[in-house]
Amino acid sequence: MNDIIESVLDELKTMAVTMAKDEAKAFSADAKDFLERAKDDVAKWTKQLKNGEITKEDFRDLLEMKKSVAEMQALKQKGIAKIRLEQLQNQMLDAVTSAVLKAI
Amino acid sequence: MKKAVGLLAVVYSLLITGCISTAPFDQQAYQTAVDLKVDSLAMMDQASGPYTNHTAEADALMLRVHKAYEYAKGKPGNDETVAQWAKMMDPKDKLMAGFIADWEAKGQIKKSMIDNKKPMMAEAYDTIIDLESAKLKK
Repeated sequence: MNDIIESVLDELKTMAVTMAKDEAKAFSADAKDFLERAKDDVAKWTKQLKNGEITKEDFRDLLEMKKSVAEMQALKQKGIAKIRLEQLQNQMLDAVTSAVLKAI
Repeated sequence: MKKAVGLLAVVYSLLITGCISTAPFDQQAYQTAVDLKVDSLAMMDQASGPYTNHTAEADALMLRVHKAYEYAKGKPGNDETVAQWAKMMDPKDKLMAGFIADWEAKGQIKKSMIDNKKPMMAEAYDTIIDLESAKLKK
């Protein structure tokens, strides 16, 4: 019977570790993409500012918008993290249910 | 055996009590976000012209954003989507309401600024669309 408990606990641990790794990888890729785009945008806007295509006020306005987009991205990541936790919770409940049914 | 079942029952009850419940995927919410993205970007193209010629369209678009916010707010476990729509309709956040407020204040927006802002607006809407897509189909 200890084998069942061990195996369920191992399964739960694997699920949690896999989810954490997958989420960290996805978050890191998203953050990297965002920073790359931000870097390119700021370089482009700086050039436009030098060329007189946009004003200092426009430049500030664009940076503020970029900040708002970053906050939207953060909300998306937070929402997705909660969804993944719910998925993990459901998988764990299934694993424990199935182990209990086997044990009785 | 009783001990094993008891331990599993404890694990089970811990999982149940710490229950996370998020809003499920909603096709209507997804479609609304996609439609608003397309219509908002099309409206931004009009901003090189006088705001006074587009007041009714701008008001109608912002009304749809408000409706999307209220729809999202009515669903439990939907905090992040609600916060995203709130940012879309807050002029301080420089997203859709911010763009329209700016257009209204300045009369018209420079083409270079529209071109700079459109990809960011698209990205902002995409965060709402992506989050909706990630929701569980329950």
